[in-house]
Amino acid sequence: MENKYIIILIGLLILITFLTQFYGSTDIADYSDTAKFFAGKYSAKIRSSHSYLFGFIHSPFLKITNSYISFKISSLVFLILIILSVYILSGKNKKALWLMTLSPVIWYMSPWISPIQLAALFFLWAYWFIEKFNKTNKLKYLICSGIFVGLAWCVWDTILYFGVFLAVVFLCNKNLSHSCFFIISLLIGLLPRLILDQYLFNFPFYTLIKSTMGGFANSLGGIYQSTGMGVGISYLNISLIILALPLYYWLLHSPKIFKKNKKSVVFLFLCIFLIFALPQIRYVMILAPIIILIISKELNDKQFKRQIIFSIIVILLFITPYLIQIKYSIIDKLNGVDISYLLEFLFKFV
Amino acid sequence: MTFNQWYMIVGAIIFILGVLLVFVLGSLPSFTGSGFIWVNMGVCLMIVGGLMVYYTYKENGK
Repeated sequence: MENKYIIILIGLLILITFLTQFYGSTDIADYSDTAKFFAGKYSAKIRSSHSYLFGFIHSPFLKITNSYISFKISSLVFLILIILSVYILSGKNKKALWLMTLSPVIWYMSPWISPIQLAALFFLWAYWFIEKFNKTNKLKYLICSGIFVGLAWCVWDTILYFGVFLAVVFLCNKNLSHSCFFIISLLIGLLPRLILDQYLFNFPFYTLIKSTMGGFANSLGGIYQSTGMGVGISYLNISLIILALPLYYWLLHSPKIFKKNKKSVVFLFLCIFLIFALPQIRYVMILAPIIILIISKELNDKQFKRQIIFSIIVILLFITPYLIQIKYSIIDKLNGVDISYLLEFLFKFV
Repeated sequence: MTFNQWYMIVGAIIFILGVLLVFVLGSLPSFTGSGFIWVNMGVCLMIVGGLMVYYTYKENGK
């Protein structure tokens, strides 16, 4: 009976994703243009600032379908795999399945042309393996974790920061050799990207250095901050981040739960701290599966019900622009607008 | 010192750091072009630090 409702919800998710004209609002050209470039359908010079691999993977489908539909299909596949992964990793906990299916960020990210969904899937497994390594000290788990962080970094650059936090927190009290194993396995996971960069630019670290240095320059007052962008909307974005996070994430900071999950809580705290610095809802996609994996064990029935009601309300808020954009366009943006844009520009809510 | 006392002190320190970020670094816009990054990070520290103190207080009942 319960499974029937989950299938209906996923069916609804698929329906909204395919019906809406929205494709994402940040960095989407970096991935869609590279897909067109590899499919031989891009006339201009390619100058993406991000990994070319995600576009490369989608290019054959783009060539066949002549549309971006494959990005939506892959997004849904990765999101469903995340939901299933959380369910399996939680020991087939039904609460985890419900919490993940009704996680607002899943519904928010479903139509996006973005590698974050795939990176989140890899990173969830990287976290789970390093947690296993932390408990058992078995090297195979550490190697698997490193490979998964590398794979996540193949498609999404920002995973670097989350990966550093993961390594620092979980390896701080281990041997130096463990860190070496982690870095080597990370490089193994990174191989697809390195090979593609070598093929395209004759330098395996080209896009890694380009995007990392670009991010660093921006953090020191690059083009976005010198124009004042983001100043006014930061409070709005922080509010949306708080809504996108599971309601009971904050419960992890109680001493009782902290004692049981010290490293995980510190890791999540560092990541949330980073996300608050540059608040964008899509970043929550990386953390939500990990948070749900932990809190699903801690919530009682009353808290679970509250969490579900909270999630449904936030999902309705997040998908409203997508529903509007099934038939109408909002403020004439080419790829459509999400809830941040809608609140910021339409209602001047800053 | 018990774990909960230690945890409460750490929470208080994080909260104070958050206050400093919001009201001191947040008013110095020269470094990043604007102070909003400091304010945002300060808000995060204040929330987490405040919750650590609150939850410990609630758990201990004192």
